[in-house]
Parts: sequence; C-alpha cells; structure tokens
Amino acid sequence: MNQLVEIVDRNLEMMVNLALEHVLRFGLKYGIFSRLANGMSYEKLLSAIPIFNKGYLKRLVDTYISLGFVEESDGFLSISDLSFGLNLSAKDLEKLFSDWVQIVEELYKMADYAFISAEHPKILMDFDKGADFWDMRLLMELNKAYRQLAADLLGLEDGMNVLDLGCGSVSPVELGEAVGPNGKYVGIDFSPGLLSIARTRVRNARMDWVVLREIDIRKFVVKNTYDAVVISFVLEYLENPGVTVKKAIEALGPGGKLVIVEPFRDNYPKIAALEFFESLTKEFIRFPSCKDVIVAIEESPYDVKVEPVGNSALLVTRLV
Amino acid sequence: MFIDPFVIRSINRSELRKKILLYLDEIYPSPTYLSEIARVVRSDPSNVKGALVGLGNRYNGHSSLVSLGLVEIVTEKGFKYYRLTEYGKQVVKLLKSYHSYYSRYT
Repeated sequence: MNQLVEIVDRNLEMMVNLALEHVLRFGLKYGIFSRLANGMSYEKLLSAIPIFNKGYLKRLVDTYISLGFVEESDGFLSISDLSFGLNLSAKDLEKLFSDWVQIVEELYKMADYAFISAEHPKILMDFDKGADFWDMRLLMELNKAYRQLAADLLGLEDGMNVLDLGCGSVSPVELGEAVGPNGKYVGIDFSPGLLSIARTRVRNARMDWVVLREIDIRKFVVKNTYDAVVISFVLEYLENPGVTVKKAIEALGPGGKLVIVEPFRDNYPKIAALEFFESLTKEFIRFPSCKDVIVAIEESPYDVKVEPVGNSALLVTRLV
Repeated sequence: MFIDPFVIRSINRSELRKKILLYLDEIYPSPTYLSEIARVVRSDPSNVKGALVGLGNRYNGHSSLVSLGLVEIVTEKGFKYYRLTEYGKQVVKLLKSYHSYYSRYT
C-alpha cells in the first residue's frame, strides 16, 4: 500500500483524537461536566452555563451525546465516568506531521470566541472572509500528503485532463503541475477569496494550462469529460453528497478515475469531536460515511469499479 | 512555526512595514542598515526605526517587525544592521500570495 495512505490516516486519526481531548477540556472549562454529575435537564443546563452563544453550546452538548460521554433521556442529561487515552506506537509517531497541530490549536481558540459570539471577528472559518487562514490550512503537510496521494492514485502525468471539484487555493498549482504543460487542469470552487489566492499562484507559476472557475459545485453541470476527477474534503459541505459524486463519475471518460479523500465517519468513530470545530464554517454539514458514498457510486448508471484506499480515500474507475 | 493571519493582515494595512519587508526580502539573506532602508522605501529614518523596533506609542512592542520576529538585528563592529528572519521570509511569501485577495476581499 502507498505509504501516503498510512500517513494520511494516522494524521487524521490524531487530529480527531486531539479534537476529542479539546472538547472534553471545554466540558471542564465551562463547568458542564460538574453540573451534569448529578444529572440536569437539557434546558436548565443551557441556561446555567455562562456561554452567550447558546446555539454553539447546544452543539457542544450534542457532540458529547454523540460521542457517548453524555446520555439524554426525555430531555434529561446525565454523565457517566469519563475516560480518555492515547495509544500511539513509535511507528505511528514517525508518521505524524507537526504543522497541523498549530493550525487546529487556532480552531480551538476560535471555538472559544464562538462561545462569545457566532460572528466574532477572530473566527476565520468563512471561506471568503478567512481565505488566508483557509489557505494556511491547505498548505499544511497533511494536505500536501493527501493531494500527492490523489495524484498517485489517479496516475496524474503530463498531458492528462483533470477536474478538481472544490479546488481551494493550493491544489491548482500542485495538481496542475502534475499534468502540465501539455495537459489541462480545471479547478472549480465557490469561494472568490480562495480562487483569488489560487490565481495569484497560478499566474506567478505561469501555468496557462490551469483554468479556475467560480462555480458552486451544487450547481455544476457536466459539459466535458476528463481523465481524472478529484474530490478532497468537499463532501462535508454538501447536503446531498451523492449528487456531486454521481456528477463526478459522469465527468469521467472511459477508463477515467475519480479519487475521493475524506475522513469517512464510519472509519473515524470519534469524528463528531472534529466536526464540532469544523462547524465554525457555516456551510459545514457533516463528514460523509464511506458506506453512503459507495451506495451513491453504485447508483450511478455507469459501469464502475470502487476501491477503498485506507480509511480516508476511495478510488473509482469508470470501466466503459 | 505558526503564522497568525491577523499579523499578516495588520502588516498588509501598513504600507511602510510592508515596503520594508519586501525590500529586506529582495536582498535576503543580506542585512542592511537603517538609512539604506529609509532611502529605498522613501521614508524618514525615524519612521523606519519605529516600524522596525518600535518608537514611543507608534509600532509598539506588539507590532514592530523585530518584536513580531520578522526582522532580526545584526550587530557588527558597533553598527546595527537589519535582516529578514527565516520566519519573516515565510510571512513575506504569504503576504505576496494574498496581495490580490486582501485588496479585494478584506
């Protein structure tokens, strides 16, 4: 197996674990656990905790319920013994990048600001108003690793045509480089802020085979076919991810390949902890399950082969 | 090292600090002296010193380029020279990438 698969999976697992540790920290910090030790109604807890943004507080409590730390029965909340531990082998540790830790620590701080106000200026999770922060996230080693994994799985090389759905600001240069100068890279994103950063980089790199379009992928219409299609960390922002997956398959020519990279929720049982922080982006819905995505792929009218790659990637090949 | 987007935004809003960083990036890794920077960025040496190390209430310890870790002071034979740090180099790279974004979206 490509070593990048292990690297991506181990880093995502650790990211989820750190998020879990931090949501537990919030429970201590805001007196949620101590209040729940003897049980309390959901409503009473929300009013008792000194957090202004009750909507985000509710999301935190729902996260505890989803993670199994808190139980809800008829509007009454109770807590059982809490246990949290990390078990990492030396082999796992050598695969961990360090730069994403600094970035997720910023997410933790933003969550604190979100408890004050959902519109707090220190929250930079909007794709346009915080495109610079998003760009820093997209520049992380982990993101480079999954883009390289996608390029490897798709076998990207000079002369190929590739479509990147929800391309962001870094992928156009990295994946564009893999197919240039004789191929074509088409990147689609709905954020003009991220595309503006991407365009600066593409212009500086003189990559005239890279085309960027401001389109909401929910409204994307397939007009051309491609040798390869990429969907990475995008489905979590879509109400109906299956529709986009089917369109991506439709955009493949015969023999074309689609790669989907996501921390699939059925492979990361504690993903709700990370989702608590990712929900600072208003478009965020939930990470998709691998099972649901495969169902959508199999519903496609085209003859395809699906291969799960580790816990965070799916490779789809259109056969005819 | 983590780069705070608010620091980049703040520098982007300050023409003098931005010009100084871009010049130090241009001559990197060479250091240069205060009056040379002032001449290139077409500003007064006292303003440039304020941007580099802070001066009174202006560009105080929270926002001078040295206190932000973007520029370092090199002392040689009693003379002070200023050089972009490796961290500052990374910040300038992002600042350049975000120029068009900042001018239109923030």
